[in-house]
Amino acid sequence: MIVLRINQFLINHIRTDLTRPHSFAYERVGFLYLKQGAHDDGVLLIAAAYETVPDDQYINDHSVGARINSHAIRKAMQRIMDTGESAMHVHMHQHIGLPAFSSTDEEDLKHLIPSFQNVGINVAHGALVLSINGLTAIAWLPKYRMPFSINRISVIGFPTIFYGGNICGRVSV
Amino acid sequence: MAEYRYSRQSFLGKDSQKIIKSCTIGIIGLGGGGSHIVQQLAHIGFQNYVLYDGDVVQETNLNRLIGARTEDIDKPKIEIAKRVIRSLLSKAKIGAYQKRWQENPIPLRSCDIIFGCVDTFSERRELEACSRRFLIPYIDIGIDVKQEKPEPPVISGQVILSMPGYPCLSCVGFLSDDKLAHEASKYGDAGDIPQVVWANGVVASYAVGIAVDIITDWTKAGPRLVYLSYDGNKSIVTPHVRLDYLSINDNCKHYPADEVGDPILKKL
Amino acid sequence: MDIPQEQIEEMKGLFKNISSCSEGKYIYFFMPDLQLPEGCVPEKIDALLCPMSRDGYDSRLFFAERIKSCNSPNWNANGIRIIERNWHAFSWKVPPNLRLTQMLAAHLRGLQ
Repeated sequence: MIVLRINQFLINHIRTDLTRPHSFAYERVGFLYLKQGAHDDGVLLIAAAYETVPDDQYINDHSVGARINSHAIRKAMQRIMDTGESAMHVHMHQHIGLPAFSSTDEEDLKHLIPSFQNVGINVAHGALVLSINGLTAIAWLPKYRMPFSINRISVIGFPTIFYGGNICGRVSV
Repeated sequence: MAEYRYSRQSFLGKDSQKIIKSCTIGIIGLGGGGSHIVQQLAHIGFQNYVLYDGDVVQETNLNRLIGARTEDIDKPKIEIAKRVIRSLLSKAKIGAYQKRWQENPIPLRSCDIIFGCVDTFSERRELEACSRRFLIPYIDIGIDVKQEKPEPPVISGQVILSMPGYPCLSCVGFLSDDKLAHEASKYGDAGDIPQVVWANGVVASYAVGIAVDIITDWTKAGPRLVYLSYDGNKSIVTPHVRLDYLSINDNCKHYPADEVGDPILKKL
Repeated sequence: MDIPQEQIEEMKGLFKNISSCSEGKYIYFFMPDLQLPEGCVPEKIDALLCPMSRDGYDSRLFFAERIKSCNSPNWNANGIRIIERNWHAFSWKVPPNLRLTQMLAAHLRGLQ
């Protein structure tokens, strides 16, 4: 079982950041950094910090929502190396309801995650996609080439909201 | 049948019972306060528990230990709590540990809310630190009875919510260096504190109400600081006066947002 | 609490694997396999120095387990949880405003 916990402040900050328009990219991207915790039933991922990808680290490619350059990826890899944290690619789909990763997202992540795994060998890395009022996440456990669904995501605050399992998420805005 | 049982609390929200069923609740200390909490959570329909108490039932506990019977003397308190839960929820998943939580802390990390029903300030500090690390809302309860003759005894108590990201027990002034130092000078011995069932019941009920609201949002009350002060002599519960000097927007100086998860030691 | 870099350098010189961490406003220095005074069992142990005022002490040294020593100190902190590990400490006051290395030595004298 993989559990992700994230503070509501951080989720609000991420949503605000990702909804800022970019001069040419249709979407924005950021990286969420997480600490781990041993857990009876598996892995516990605790969100610690978020970093936006600066405007000048996007590639002008209209075939996708957003494409970031190697500087952005190297910066994330450096932080993983320096801190021992996990990293999660974060983007947002502008709709209401539970979001899902598109086939383009999955294809891009297939290339990105091994880079993270190379520098953060013993920790899980992953991806988080938000909608206006929901979120979904997947994680690659150490040494795995395929992602696992994150079974439970808790957004901690007033109220505390749970996603995953038999809870489909509730409107949080 | 199961849903019908909870029909009188359906005002909590459409998915409330599903949310309640999915949550794991930690309760540290199953004495006077914790036993009330266990009983209420079981009635509400919480199915997953992580319980800690190293003690056995003593005769002097029977004035307030919910669920305990005369023949339970010398039985572990966790067994009483399990029986109370199982009498209402035969399939409840209960992790029960007859020890200090520090001796087996990992199960606590799976909790969605932790109730601290402990006697000392230092225990509260340790529990809160763990809750903050793993982003778990922590609800602290306690009762104190002071007897200074010739004045009548004074019953007081508190219910405090320590929500990660918001002011902590130290920020609201409940924990302080002076209190911790004073307690340490007495070797953390809480002694035989006078306790009564109704006072425990008051603070426990408030704590359970806060927990249910955090996860169901039935009040739609939004972010708030919760530090309730119980005056057992006047039978009133009021927001603690310290809240007048704090804002919900105050940052917690004690637990930074990135001080989470298993600690990462920085090599010097 | 700001600790002068030269004091940290001094500690690094003595303890190759020293690391630091913080929790709930307290700063800690972690020293794996700290060599204990003669006569102690075990001879080496993981230790955690809190150089700040805590629980009525100006500074405190925590050990991964209770130590058998020539004297019988008063172990008044037993199995307390700090940085997700259980620690033990004996009641021992050392003077305030010591350098980190002096502080550590003063705490270890409590085992002699």
